[in-house]
Amino acid sequence: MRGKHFAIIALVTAMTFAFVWVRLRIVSTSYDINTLSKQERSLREECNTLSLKINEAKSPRRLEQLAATKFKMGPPRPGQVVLLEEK
Amino acid sequence: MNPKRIKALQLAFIVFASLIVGRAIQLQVGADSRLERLAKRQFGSKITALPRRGLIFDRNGEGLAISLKVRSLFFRPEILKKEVSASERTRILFNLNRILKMPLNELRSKMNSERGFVWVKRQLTENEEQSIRRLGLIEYGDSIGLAEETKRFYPNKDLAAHVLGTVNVDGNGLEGLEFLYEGILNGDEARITSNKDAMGRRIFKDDRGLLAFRDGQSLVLTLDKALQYEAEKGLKQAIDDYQAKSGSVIVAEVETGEILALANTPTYNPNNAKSASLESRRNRAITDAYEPGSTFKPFMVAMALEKGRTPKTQIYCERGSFKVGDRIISEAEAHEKFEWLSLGQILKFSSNIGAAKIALDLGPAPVTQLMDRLGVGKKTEIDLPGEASGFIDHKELRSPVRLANVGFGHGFTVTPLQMLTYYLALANGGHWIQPKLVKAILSEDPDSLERGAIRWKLGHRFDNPKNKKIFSPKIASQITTMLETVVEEEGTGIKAQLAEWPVAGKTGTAQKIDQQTFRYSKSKYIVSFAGFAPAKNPKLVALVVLDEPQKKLYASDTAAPTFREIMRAGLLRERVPPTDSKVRLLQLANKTSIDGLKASAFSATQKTKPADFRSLEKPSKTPKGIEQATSLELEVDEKQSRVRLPDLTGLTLRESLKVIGSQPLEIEVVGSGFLREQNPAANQWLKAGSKIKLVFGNK
Repeated sequence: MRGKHFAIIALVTAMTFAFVWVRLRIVSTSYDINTLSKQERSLREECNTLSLKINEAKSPRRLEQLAATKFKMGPPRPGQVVLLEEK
Repeated sequence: MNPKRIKALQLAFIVFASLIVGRAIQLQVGADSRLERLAKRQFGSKITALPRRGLIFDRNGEGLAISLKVRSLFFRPEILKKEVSASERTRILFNLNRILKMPLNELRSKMNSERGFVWVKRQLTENEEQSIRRLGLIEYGDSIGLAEETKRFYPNKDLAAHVLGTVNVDGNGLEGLEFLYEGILNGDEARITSNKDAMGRRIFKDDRGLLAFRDGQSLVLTLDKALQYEAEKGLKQAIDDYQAKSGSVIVAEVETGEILALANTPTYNPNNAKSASLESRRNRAITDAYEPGSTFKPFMVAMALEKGRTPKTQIYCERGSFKVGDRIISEAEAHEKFEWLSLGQILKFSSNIGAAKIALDLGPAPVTQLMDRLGVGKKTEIDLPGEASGFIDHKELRSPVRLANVGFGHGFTVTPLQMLTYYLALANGGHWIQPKLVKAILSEDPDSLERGAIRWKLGHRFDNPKNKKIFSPKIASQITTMLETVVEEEGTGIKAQLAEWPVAGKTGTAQKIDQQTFRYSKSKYIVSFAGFAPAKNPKLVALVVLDEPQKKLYASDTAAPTFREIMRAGLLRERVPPTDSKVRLLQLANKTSIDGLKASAFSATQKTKPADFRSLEKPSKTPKGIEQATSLELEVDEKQSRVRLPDLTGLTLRESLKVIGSQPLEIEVVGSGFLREQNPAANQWLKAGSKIKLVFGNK
């Protein structure tokens, strides 16, 4: 009889601990999700900013200016463009 | 201790503990709306998730419009006045004045406003935001703060500004595709409820709120950023060179009707649209209808072919003056006194009288049928807002004078885009294709696009639902052959000629209505050139329209060379292999030695008369396109075997060689375009075998 009571008390205690543990895990996971979401948003913003900078750097006007001034390049003259056929 | 006292103390503790436990049970278990409200305020949190506006890409995945998160500064004046001391408020004012460069009075009036919430400045720059944070100007509780917003950026500045359009400070599309696709680009915001712990960290209860959230979808355009740039550059150069008021250029892919470039000048920077004039923001290529002039003649000829005429049909062109009713129709240039011209020659020499006679011969019904088939007076329904439909009054075609006018492209209006679609139809074997600007709407995360264009997941593709046949392939082919002659020697469009590819096209110089006299002006023109290349297997079609050029009045001298530069850039960009034998000549021309050139161009002459000069034969007539070239003559001294070259500046290589003819001179050719320099200088006597250097360039 005494052993049966002990078993019930142990089970209830274990269930209580399990419940508390699960609740704590939920809160902890929620914190993690929150932190990662912030990190993701921040990285995404950084990615967008970099993407803007890449697109600004690839602007045809800028590239043409660089090609002309830095590398002394110009548009090809007739006959200078040779297109190779794919085989 | 007295046991009674101990029991009393125990009882007191038990009663006290019971009271605490009872109160705790009452607070925790019993319903209390006041406490519930307080807890919600303290621990509850509502977040508005702002969607990211969809991006806009060109056909190769290059970004044309991008949205970034930025911060906007606000005051809550009521709280500010209560919770922040006067001296602190003054410090805030002076610092903001310095950082934001806003007048003190304006800042003060915002701070003292009676309203609960006031924007100080929307969309701060990165430096402004950092300065505000560094100086601790937002550390006054809820009284001053930074709100997160998105801002649209156009990394290529004014590139394709009229197609992209712009957005207002709230991120709503105002013009162009930003306006038309507002519902798709904007996305849906979501309100998400969460709890906060004692540290202020958020604990999300569920994701129900997030289900409603949707980022804006991205657009993939048909535009090619590089070609768009070339078109804008070429157009701006033409506007500057010929001092025109404005202009438009459109380039499209023949097979699909996809617009690769659509440019207008004047233009504006959509990053700073507020400061741009309304004039510069107008998309003239779709809003400004004009009388097309001679670029319309090929369609009149096509109709004549359909009604049984043949390319060899001859029409008497009245030696330059043709009376219809009480009006006299003359040719574009007074000296042109054509007699009998075939249909092809009418296009080649751009005879107004010939085209007018074709229209009169056809009669009102077939001309009306032609206009209906082409869609004159109807929008193309391209995916851009504000398209004009052009205008034609079919009833007026019953009048012979009006009918004759329509023959050479007057008396009705079309937009540049409409005219482009007509040439697109010719290039497509007579099939009209609806032009389009949006290739697809992306359904996937747009970031995947930036990592590799191949992995696009296209959410929606646009077909061409309104394609229709307007001419038979045979007639389209016959017209193409005629249009090729326009760009050959003696044709009005010779300056549109390309070295590597044959071009089919037509010039148009249309008189404008004088707004004061309401008659056709003799000094104000709209010039245009429309055409496609390579002529027999066209890949690209393009149209150049210039409004009121001042320096040179005719399309042959203005729109045609502009077309040549833009079309060449387009064909190179599309990697279209050279198809014309002229390449050989040009390849030779690029050599610094004369040997190759002599061997090909002059060998026949040298075999018969190796060291003699021969007088240049004058051409039988002087068509306007190469008037300058043929009016220049060599002075030949056959006795002393020497020759004097005129000033060839401004001529093309072909025109220059035509003037020099078969004289035994050693010619060194450098560059392409128009002659900029000749050495020895003009008008000097040159002995047989002398070397001359011709330097060509774009200006």
